Amino acid sequence: MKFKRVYLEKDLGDNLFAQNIVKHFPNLPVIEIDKYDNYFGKFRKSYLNKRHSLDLFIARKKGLRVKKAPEAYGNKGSPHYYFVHAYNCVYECEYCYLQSYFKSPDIVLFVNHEEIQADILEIYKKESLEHSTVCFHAGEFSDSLALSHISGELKSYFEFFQKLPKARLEFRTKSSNIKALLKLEAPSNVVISYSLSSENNNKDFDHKTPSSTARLKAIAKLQKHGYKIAIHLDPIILTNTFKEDYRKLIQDISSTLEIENIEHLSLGVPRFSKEAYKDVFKHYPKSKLQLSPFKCGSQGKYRYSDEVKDSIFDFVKRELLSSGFSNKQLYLCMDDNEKF
Amino acid sequence: MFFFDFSEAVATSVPTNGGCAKSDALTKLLFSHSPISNRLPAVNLLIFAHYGEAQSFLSSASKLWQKGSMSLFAIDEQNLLLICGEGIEKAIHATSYCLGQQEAKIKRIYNFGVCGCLEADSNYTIDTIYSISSVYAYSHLDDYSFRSFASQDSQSPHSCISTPVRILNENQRTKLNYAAALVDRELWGIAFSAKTFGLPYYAFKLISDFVKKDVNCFEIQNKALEYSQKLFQHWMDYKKQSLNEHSLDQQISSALEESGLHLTQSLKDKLYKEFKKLQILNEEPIDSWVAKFNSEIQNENLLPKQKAKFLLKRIEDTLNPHLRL
Repeated sequence: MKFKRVYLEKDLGDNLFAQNIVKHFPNLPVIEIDKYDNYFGKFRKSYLNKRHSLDLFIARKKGLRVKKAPEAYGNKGSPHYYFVHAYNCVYECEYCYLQSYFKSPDIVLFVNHEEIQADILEIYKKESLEHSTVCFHAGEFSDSLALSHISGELKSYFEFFQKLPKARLEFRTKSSNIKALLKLEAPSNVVISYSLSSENNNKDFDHKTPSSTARLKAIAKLQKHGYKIAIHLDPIILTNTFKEDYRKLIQDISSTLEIENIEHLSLGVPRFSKEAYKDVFKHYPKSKLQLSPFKCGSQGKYRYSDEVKDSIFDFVKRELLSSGFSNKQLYLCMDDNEKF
Repeated sequence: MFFFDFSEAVATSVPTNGGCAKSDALTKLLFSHSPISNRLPAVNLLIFAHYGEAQSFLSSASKLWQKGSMSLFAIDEQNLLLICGEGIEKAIHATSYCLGQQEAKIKRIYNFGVCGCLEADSNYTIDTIYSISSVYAYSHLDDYSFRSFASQDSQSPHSCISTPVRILNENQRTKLNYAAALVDRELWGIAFSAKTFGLPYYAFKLISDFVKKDVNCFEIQNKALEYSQKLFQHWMDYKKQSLNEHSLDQQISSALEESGLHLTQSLKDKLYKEFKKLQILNEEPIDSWVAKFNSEIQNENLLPKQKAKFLLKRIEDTLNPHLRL
């Protein structure tokens, strides 16, 4: 992936994060603009443009910068929030909701981290009165590590969160780009949270992402460096080789990582809005997702039937428990944990 | 095999440079909403802004009608050609007018024409034709239209922006170029009408120049014949390629025809769908899949219709992984 142009909001000329990002692209034209949203999202830009002509916006995030996460987003018992530091992702996962979420595949990096952190602090002050842990997630609208060597904000968040003892910061990623993380000391309240899928699913559905093996190697390095690790087996896509594939993945996880030190492991299956489901096959007409048994539910969402879903979760849970994971480490992401 | 013969139409049509008279016989066939017109084969509508770009397509065409700057021609039994005139408004007007009358018979729309390129230092080259994936619009109000239209060629990396304004400064060029590398005056209007009528569209654009202030419009006009020939050749090549791409459909049809199975239409439709999915999973040719299935069940005492149902179940079992849980 190569960027074609950099669009920089004029008011950010003095922002150090913005300056450093621009320095990464000495050969790209830098176009000064008033506001990123005069361009980004003004019309629906073809999603597949990202393969050939991706633009980078450096902008100030206005409006709601920290949002309440939906129910069942993370482990029960703690309030969960995510903060918005970027829009869009350099990877191309066939099931990704970003295909239809934004009107453009271009990347927006928000650089007003001080304002984002001030908003986090405000929520923290309120929530920490009632809860022993308040969770903040990065990576809801983007991969939180893939461009971290360019965006350069990790250190600032680590330092900020060290002052918030009851807070927990979770970075969601598929990236093996861990150079920036290895340069920093691992704070005790930061969790690096990896999405993993079987090697076959990775090959068929997660385009331009590091292989599962590369991700596992990166996780092992981070674990050795002292980082807390979480894993998401999400989305688990049902294929003809699902059982063999996930058995192998779980064996690889348990042979590569110290599983007793994994903070938590969540399971999830794909779910699509009607528009997102349509977009998947528009963008990937030969996608093997069409072979998976999705049903359109009463709310117009495409998902597996409860029977299929339960069978998937039962199988994976059994494999995880027999590999040494404890029940306490496991939960379902965006699903009913009562039966699990 | 074509349903109707254009020879009569050609014989009664006006010369291509004629007025607004109509070819009676052909016009009746093409325009009437009688039961006959519903049985006519569906045709393509090729749309050009100017006669100059279209001229190579019109060598044996007959004019069906002309109204102001718009004219409709029949190129052959499968293709009509519309000259829509220049600009987004004219493109919407002409395309919608034509589709409003022809709706029942037009199956897809193709836009051919020249365009400018906003990126002089890019990999785009003059005189080359690009298939467009999406079209955007820039309005008189110096802003984007929020509506954009995706063509049937969603995999193409090339987009186009239609604009009614002449690009006079760097700021405008930057704004347009954020949306697309190619710029024209009509495509958005054509795509808008296509969407209104629920029809798919394709667009092929030949780059005539890199956009700058002092572009020589006369030079571009003088090359109209050359551009038209290139576009026509592209159309010929495209048609050949499309025929090859339909081979999967043909493979399935002939495998089913030769299978010796008793197939009702609904069973045929289901098998057709499932075979298409099977091709995603498996590279094995359809005919050998069917042959293998036939040899496996030859000793079973099944009626042809039962065999067909059994075949469908076999494919569904192969395709549906949840049955293996």
